Amino acid sequence: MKARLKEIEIQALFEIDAASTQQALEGIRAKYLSRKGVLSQLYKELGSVDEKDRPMIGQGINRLKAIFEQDIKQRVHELYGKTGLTESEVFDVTMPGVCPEIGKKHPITKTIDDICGVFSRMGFAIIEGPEIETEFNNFEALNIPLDHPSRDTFDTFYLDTENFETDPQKRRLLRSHTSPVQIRYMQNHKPPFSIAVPGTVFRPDATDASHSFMFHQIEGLVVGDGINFANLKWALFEFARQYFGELTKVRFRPHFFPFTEPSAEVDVSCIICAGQGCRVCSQSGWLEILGAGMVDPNVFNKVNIDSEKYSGFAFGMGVERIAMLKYGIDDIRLFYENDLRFLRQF
Amino acid sequence: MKISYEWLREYVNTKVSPETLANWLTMAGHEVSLIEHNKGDVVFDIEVTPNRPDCLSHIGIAREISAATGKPFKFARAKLLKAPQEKRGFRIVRENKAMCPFYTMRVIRNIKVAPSPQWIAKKISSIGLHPINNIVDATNFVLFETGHPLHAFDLDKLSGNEIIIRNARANESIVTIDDIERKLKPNMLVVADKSRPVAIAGIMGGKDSAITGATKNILLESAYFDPISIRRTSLALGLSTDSSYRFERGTDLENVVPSSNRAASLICDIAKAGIGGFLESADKAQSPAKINLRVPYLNKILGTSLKPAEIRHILARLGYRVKGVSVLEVIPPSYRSDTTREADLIEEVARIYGYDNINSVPASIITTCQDDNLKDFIAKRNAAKETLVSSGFNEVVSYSLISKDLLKDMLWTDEGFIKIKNPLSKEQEIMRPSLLPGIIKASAYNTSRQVYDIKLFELSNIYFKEAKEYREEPYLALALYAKANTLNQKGILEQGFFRLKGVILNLAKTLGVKNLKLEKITSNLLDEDRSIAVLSGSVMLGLMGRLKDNITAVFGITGSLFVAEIDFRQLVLSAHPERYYKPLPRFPYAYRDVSFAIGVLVEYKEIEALIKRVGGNLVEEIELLSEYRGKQIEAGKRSLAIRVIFRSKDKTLTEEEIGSADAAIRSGIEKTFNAVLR
Repeated sequence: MKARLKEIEIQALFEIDAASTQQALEGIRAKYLSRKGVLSQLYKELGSVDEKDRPMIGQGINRLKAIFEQDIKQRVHELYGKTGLTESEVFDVTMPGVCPEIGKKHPITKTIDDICGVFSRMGFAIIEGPEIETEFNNFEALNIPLDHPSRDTFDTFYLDTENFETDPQKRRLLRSHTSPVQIRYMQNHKPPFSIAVPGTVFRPDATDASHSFMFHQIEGLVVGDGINFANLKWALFEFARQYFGELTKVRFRPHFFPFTEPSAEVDVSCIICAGQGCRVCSQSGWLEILGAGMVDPNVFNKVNIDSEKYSGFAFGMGVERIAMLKYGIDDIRLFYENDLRFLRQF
Repeated sequence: MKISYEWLREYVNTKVSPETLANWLTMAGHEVSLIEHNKGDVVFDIEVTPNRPDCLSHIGIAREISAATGKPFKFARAKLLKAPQEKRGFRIVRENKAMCPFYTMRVIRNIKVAPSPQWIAKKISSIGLHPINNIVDATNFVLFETGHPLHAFDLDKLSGNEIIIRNARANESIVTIDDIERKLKPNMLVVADKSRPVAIAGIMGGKDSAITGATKNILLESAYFDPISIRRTSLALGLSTDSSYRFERGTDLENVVPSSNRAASLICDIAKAGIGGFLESADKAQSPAKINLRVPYLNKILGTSLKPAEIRHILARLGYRVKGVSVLEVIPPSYRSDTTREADLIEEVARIYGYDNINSVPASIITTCQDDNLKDFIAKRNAAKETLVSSGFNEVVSYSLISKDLLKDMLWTDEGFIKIKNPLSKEQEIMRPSLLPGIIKASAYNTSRQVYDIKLFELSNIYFKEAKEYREEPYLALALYAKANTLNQKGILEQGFFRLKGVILNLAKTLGVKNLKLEKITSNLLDEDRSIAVLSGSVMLGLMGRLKDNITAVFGITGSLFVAEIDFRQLVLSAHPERYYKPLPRFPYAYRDVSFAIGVLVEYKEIEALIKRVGGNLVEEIELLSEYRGKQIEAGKRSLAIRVIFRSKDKTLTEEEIGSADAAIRSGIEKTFNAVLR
């Protein structure tokens, strides 16, 4: 038996050395190593070998198996691992790659997804609401009285409803901000909660490079026991850091919004010049990107949330503005023209 | 609003640079948007928020600087001038007391209208106004100094001795100083003499009682008008002035008389005039209400630990009177009618304490979950977008408001669309009842710019009226462009059609739409016999096909545009993306190709069904290899090549088994459809 192993070893190694194609090597592998091959046959015959020789012969077969496998691989490398190609084998690797055809999400969608992703990871639920709204949800509940100049910044498209002048209850408008979703949410949910609300909004602004009668906002609202202004600063600082980058600085400036008190406008250090001052930030080093504040008690009263027990903060930002800053887009109309040469860049 | 640095420094003694000052103002809530250097002076453009009418003047801004810096504020309110008894027996008649709780008038005689002295002209011009004459400039000067609007009438042009503050009468009108005739309505407040309105109260004076070069005697008005009334009138007339801007935001009742005195003494001085009588008519002044400010509550809202003394100090600097320790009793100054509640005071304290000085503290954000319906909808919408994007389609976002003409171009007949009451232009007069106009327009935009590789989708709302309800529903539109539009190039046409069909099938598969069916349909938008409806069971989801040539042509597109529009809400409701694992096949497959010529009216669907029936459960898959129509083949026929893939889940199929299934299929096709095998 021992002699037969030696014989098989010499024969197989000779065949492997002599093989000059992959097919020939596959044939050798089948002949010696397959389930019906020579070595399998030897294993079967082990039973008839003397008990004292059995371990030694068994190890011998194992050894052959390892040697053959190794040598076949070795031979493959020898055969095909050559260096240099003939002229006819060479191709021009600098020719363009064949790109699988993929489309792109609109940059507004992408911006919304990215921003909402940050808030989602912070524990906010992403909530949506209707674009057609009532005056109550868009204005009154948000402490924006009909005859106050604070309405000037909320110019609004109205739908041509029946008896428009005489039936204000049935009047419908296109929401001029995403804040009415706050009202809807608070009417149907008990605090505590944290929500972020992306959506389309409308304001009758004449269209130019920086104004559009339709645009997008993302709104945030956190209501709970003991939520305070310091928490608001933290939340927006975290958002800015995660979305604009670790080195982003954040500045809160007092401002006025009817639905928050205290209110703030929030600036981030200019993402173009890192706060050094440039054309985009009007040399100030700051970019205004958010409005925020503590929810006005009047708003809580409108949705029957006890403003003594709960407090909350809210914030809102314009999606197009952020996308324009982030991607260096200088004309808001590009978002709505849908030129594929534009859309494919994101 | 423009504020001059030099002018400002008359009321607050600050030596800091204009840039530093601008930064202080910005950080106190009065954003300085522009700093202009102008002839040795510096002018700030300040954005004053609508709740702070008290800051619409130089003394207002000076007060804020004083509060922020602690530097003393110096402005001596003008004293009432000693005046002789008025000869003409004037009377103020406040017919509408609610809209005018306080009205005063001052007579000034023997004025000499002339150019203003240099110092006034300079101040007026520094904030961008043109000096007119000493009288007008004096009232403007006082307006921008104290924030209180005044009006000067030519006394000799007023008839009778009564100044009447009343509502306009029906059909009354007035020509204002800008030479425009304004039709008045009875809810508008006017200042009138015996015979006619001489001013739209608080907004603009009448032309025929205005100061001219020939004016000798004037009547100077200083009053408080109800903000809501002024605002309504200003909006109704489309007329906003420096005066109405301040009155509608609320002026300072305690500033009515001092401002009048300031202007009167100035006019007497610069127009060498003699002071005349002064009259006032006022409701009993109400003492300002006390506001309780709880120190612990303030700290709870702000996340601070301010001490009562610090809070008292801040409020005192802002002009508030404060008493108490843990609960402060606060009385606002007359010019701060915006602060009426505890919350308002908390903002004031935070503003002056400095938002920068409030630390950022991690919030106990309550992890919140989406409601189930919304979660399901958003997840499927994302899945749909991902599928389309990976199929090479680009997302578009088009306007929700469109022109009626755009619908007309699409031969849209349904009148159930929603109209906008106050559109900016015809381009935005209605809400889109379909996504197709937008996506066709976007396609046209691209073809007209030599971009022809067009695959677009939009997933947004459409809007419609249904049973008097105003509805919005998410829809999905797809568009795919092929340059060819003639039948000769039908290969290209069909590629477009079947490509789009494939995308819809893929989408349905990804979302797990149950019972998906595609059936022929006729539509006035799409080619006859080349459009299909997409259904889930018997629920209609949408349709797809090639736009009729007249529609594409109207939009300026040459070529073929394949479009689809799908009710995305229905699609979501029919979609059940749960999946169960099917064991992988353990035995190899084999295939046979069959080609045959067959009548063009036999549908592939029927052939496929036959193969499945005849081949039984050995048939794993049926694949269309090619279709040929043309010269090589008899008219009215087409040639199809189909690959049938056989596999058993129990064993490796033998040649005989495959052969007999294949033979059955071939003879089935031949006999059933009268096809000619090749």
